[in-house]
Order: sequence, then C-alpha cells, then structure tokens
Amino acid sequence: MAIEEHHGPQSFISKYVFSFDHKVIGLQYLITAMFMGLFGGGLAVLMRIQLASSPDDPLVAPETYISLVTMHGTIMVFFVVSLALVSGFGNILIPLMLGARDMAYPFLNMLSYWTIVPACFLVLGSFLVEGGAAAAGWTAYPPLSALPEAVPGSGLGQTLWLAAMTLFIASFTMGGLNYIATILNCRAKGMRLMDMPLTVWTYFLSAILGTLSFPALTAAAIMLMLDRHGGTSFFLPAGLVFGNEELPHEGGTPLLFQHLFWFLGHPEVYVLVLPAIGMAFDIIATFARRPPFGYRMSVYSLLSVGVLSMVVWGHHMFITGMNPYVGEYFSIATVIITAPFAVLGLNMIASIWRGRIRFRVPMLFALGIIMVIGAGGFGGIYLATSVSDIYFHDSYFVVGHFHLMIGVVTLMGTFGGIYYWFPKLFGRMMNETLGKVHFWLTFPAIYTIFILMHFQGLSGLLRRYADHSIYGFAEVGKTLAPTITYLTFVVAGTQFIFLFNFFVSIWRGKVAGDNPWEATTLEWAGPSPAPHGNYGPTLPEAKRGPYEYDPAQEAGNDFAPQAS
Amino acid sequence: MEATIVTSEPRRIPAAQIILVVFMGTVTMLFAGFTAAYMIRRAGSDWTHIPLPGVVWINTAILIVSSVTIEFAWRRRSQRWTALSLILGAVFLLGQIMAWRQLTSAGLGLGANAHGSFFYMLSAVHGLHLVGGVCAMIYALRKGSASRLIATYWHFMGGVWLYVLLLLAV
Repeated sequence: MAIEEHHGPQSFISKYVFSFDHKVIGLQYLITAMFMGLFGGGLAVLMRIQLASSPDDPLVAPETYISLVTMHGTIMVFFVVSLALVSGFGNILIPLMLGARDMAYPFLNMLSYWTIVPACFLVLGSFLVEGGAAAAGWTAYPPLSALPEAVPGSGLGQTLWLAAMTLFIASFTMGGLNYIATILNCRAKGMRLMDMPLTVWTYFLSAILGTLSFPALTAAAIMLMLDRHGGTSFFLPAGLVFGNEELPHEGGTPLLFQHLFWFLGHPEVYVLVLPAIGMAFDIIATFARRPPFGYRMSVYSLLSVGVLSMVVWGHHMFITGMNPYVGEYFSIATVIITAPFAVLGLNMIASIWRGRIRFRVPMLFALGIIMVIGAGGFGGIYLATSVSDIYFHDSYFVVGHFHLMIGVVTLMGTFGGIYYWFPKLFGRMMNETLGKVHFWLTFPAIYTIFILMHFQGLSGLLRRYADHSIYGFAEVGKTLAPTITYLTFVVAGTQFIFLFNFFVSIWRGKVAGDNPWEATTLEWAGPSPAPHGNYGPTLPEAKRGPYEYDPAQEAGNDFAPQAS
Repeated sequence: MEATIVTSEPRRIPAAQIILVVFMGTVTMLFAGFTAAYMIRRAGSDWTHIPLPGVVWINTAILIVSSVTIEFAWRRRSQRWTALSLILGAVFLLGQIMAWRQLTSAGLGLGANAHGSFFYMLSAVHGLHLVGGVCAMIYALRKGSASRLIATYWHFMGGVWLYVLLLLAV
C-alpha cells in the first residue's frame, strides 16, 4: 500500500465511534458481543432456573420459555459468537497478521459494523413488543414463524427477528467481501498464501463459506416475509386451520424452508468454528515453542472441511421423512467430514509433542479447544448416522453436541484470543492469576454441563420443553438437570471475573513489551499497542514462514520472527 | 532451523475486482436458492402457470440494449453513453413496475398464484440489485464514465434477468 504518512483521526467521533481503523472496529465488535453475551447468557440462566423450578410455580409461562430458547440461540450464534470471533477478531487479526495497514476497504468495514448495531437493538427491542420476542426457535421453522397468529411470539417479535437477520446478513456479507479482498490483496511483501498463519487461513475459508451460504437464508427470509405479510404461499401448505377457520394458503412446503435454512445453517457452524481452530493452532505454536505439525496438511484439511460443509445440510433433517437414499448420502458425506477434522485435531495434539510448553492462560484455553473438539466430534458421529439420529433428534443429546462445538469451542477460542492478543491491542497484559481462575472455573463446569446433556438425551429427554415433569420418561435425564443448573450458575458467575480482568487490565494491567509472548507472526513485528496504521513508517516484509520456533534452543533464542 | 526464504512476489489482483467477483458469487447463490425453491414449489399439486405480462419482453429488450450501451460507455470512456445506459436502466425498472401493475389489474396479486408470487419476488430482488448498478452509474457520472467493473456487474445482472425469465417462462 502506498500510504506514506499516517495522521491518525483526531476527534473522538472519528477515532472511536465512526472509526475506519480495523482495530477500533474489531474492538467495537468485541465489546458489542460481550454486551450481547451477557444478555444471551442471562437468557440461558433463566432457562435453567425455569427447568429447575417446581412445575406448580414456574418462572415463566411455556410460550415465554420458548421465546427464551429462541432468543438465546439467535443471540449466541449471530450476535455473540459471530460478532466476537468472526467479525471482531477477524477485523483485528487479518490486517495485523498479514502486515497490512488496514482492511482493503475501511469504509465498507465501518459500514458493516454500523449495520449490525441496529440489528442488535431490534433483537433486544423485540422483548418489549406485544407478544414478546420470536418463539419459533433460532431456526425459525414455518408454519410457526410464518403465521403471525400462531403463538404470541410469532407476531411483531418474529418480524423484528427477520429484520434483524436481514441486517445481520448484509453486515456479514460486507465483512466477508472485505476479508477475502484483504487476504488476497494486502499481504506483506513476500508473503505467499502458504506463508499465512493458520488463523488467517481459517478466516479466509470462513469468509468464503459465509458469502456463499448466507444467500440461501436471505432467499428463505424474503419468502418468509412475503408469506407473513404478502399473503403468498411459499412455505404454508393448504388446510391450516386457525381459530376454526381455514387459512387461505395452499400448496406451500414448510420443508423447503428447512432445506434453505440448513444450507446456510450447517456451513455457518464452520464459519464460527474454523477461526477458533485457527487461533488454537497459532496459540499452541507460540506456547509449545514449535511449529504446528503438518501446516500444509492442516490447510488442505481446512479446505476439505469447508467444501464438505456445503453439501451435508440434510443431516439436520433426517426425521423429515426424506428419501432413505438421500439420507444415506447425507450420513456418509457427514461422516466423511470426520476425516479432515480428525487430521486437524491430531495435528494440534502432534503440535504439542516434544514442545517446551508454557502453561500461560491462552494456552490453557487452546488446550481446552482440543479436548472439546474431541468430545464434540465424537457425539457428532452419532448424529451424522441417520439411524441413531432418529432417536437423538430434538433431544438434549443434540443440545449437548452443538453446544460443545459452536458454543464451547468458539467461547474457548474467543477467550484464548482475548488473553493472547490483549497486549497487542492495549500494550498491557491481563492478570494471569485471574485468567487462570477464570479458566479453571469455566472450563470443567461448562464441559461437564454439555457432557451431561448427552446423557440426558440418551435417556430420551427432549429439548425446548418448558416442563418435563408431566412426561413419564427420561427419569435419568431429569435427575441430572439440577446439577446442570448449579454448574450454569458457576459458569455464568465466573464470567464476571473475566469482565473485571478485561476492563481493569486496559488501564491497570502490567505493561507489556512489543512481543510479550515471544511469538513469530507479523502482528508482533510492530509496536504494542498497535498505533494507527499498525506499523511505523515501513511495513514489515515476510522473510520466512510464520512459525519458526525451535524447542531445542534456549528460551529467548528459540524463535525467528517472520519479519526478520 | 530451516528458514523458508521467499523470492517470488505473489501476483495481486485489484481489490475492487475481487470484491465484485465474490459479490457476484453471492448473488448467484441467492438466485440458486430461489431456483431450488421454485423447482420444489412448482412440483406442488396446485401449480398453475400464468402468462407473464407482455411489457416484460419490451423491458428485456431494453436491458439487452443497455448492456450494449454500457460497453460503449466504458470502452470509449464516454459520459454520454453512460448517461444513456443509466436512462435505459431506469426505464427498465419503471417497466418492471408496469409489469407488476398489469399483473395486479389482471386480478393476480402477490398472493393469488404461486407462479405470480415468484414473478413478483424474483423481479423485485433482481430490480433491487439493478438499482445498485444504477447508483454506481450515477456515482460514476459525477467523475466521468462507467468503469469496466460497473459494466461487468451490469452484464451480470442482465444475465441474471435472462435466467430468471427463462426459469419463469418455461
């Protein structure tokens, strides 16, 4: 880039509010995600209280409980994990790790953030409207989502949900376009694609997957909107009766929505999980003091995971009565994903092998990711197989599985990333002891919660039910519920330690040097905190691969930065 | 320690071109999604084909002509040809609104017939994407003529329209 001089923006508004600087935008995303996370996590706590309270004295009515479930899922997937991990860290890390001054299109980047802000308000505001927030699940299946009169939440709440999703998709597409252009175009001099840190590779794939799969949801959302407000019958079949009157719709197919939704929904999982895996690779390399095992193998595995993720959506729909041969195909294709995923997991484990491990906080979270991918992936095999999935479908087994994968993996990635790149952003370290307390209280508890949910599902406990006591089955699952509720309190409470640590460390943390972790990648080639423009007058050049560590050497002498 | 010494400089493509290509990929996937929906919905037992409003064919001709004029616009760096393409684009959009009115006055509102619903929806979504192209032309006119990238996008959206027409007509 031919920018010679760098005058940072001067006024408060241009510096912190409508900023073009990728780091500020990334932080805006992160902080927005933290706020939304408090809210979405709070909903989870409310759900657990409801499940633990006596059926005679429930916390909320069943239709409100469904709203809680719906909005917890929506907020966590689209407004916490997507915002923190993909938009937040993506913006912060891509230019820094590529040795660029900013994203390819800083204005588009700012626009993308300010598109998501109204979406957040719509989501939060939907709790205040008549009928309450949307209640058709985060998947918004019709007819529940298509008939405004179906349940209280199907009214204005669902409309606001759809409006928020539209804004989210617009914002995410802008971000994705920007990521792809930046990665292809703004790499440091000398950096080939195969010299990029794995984190950048995962963002690259995640952006491609996002831009190619989100349009299917856009199409579905447009049709859903027309069914709700235009009187069309895309998803609404004939013969629906409401209040003893037959509705005028005819000929629509509710299943069509499910196909379109999951065509997005499944790749979306990888959009979220891949960056966490990439970060884990980078963090493990730094703290095991050796290059990740099989860099190229990991890149090719990531590529094949990406391609496969686009063609397996049907495994979410095994019980819809699909043709058994189609189900067979989706089963086999899904199980094939295990192969590249196992390569990734084994490469992570092999990366630690004979390393000189430093058990700092980011490393703990990265090691946690390996463990969770193992357990989560194992449950996935049972859900990929149509025979067992028919039993597990809509049970807590599914809830446990997907929370491990897109809940815990991404959360561990986000936390690990925050502890690891905090000095880059603020020039200070987060408190190590509080960080360790945070990890050791969060990880075992959250892991146990979702492993126990697998057992609840095995015993037949069904998800989304506000009150299980009226059903005479799944006794084992019911007895596990109180434990899960207590652990939820532990996890939720512990996050305040993290928030305290984060905000206090911004001003009071121990001052970090430019490269506190003795890492090699380009983001550490400039000063910390990174100034406007990221690097001084000259941009770094990539002179070698991203991970030149040697555990055999003395500490301090065991790494060669990519820029030197 | 072995160091990977990099000698060759990677080839770079202009960022705007990358963005355009990926965006066209996104739009393609959007219409692929609609196509899937159309195929499945069409197999429904209540499906009846309706004749498309006649003005659509005139609109299509106008859009094809505008693709020719925008080619002149960027090749000759001509503001006049750009303005002409812009006008043709706007006429096409107005023509599409006329098509909707023809259909509505024939008693086929948005929800009356599934085939008609698809016509309204697909032409509206296509029209919105075309509005983006018109805005880009207006922006370009302030400084000069339409660029090659705008022309590429315009051809692409023209192609999408021909595809939509083919899908709905047969």
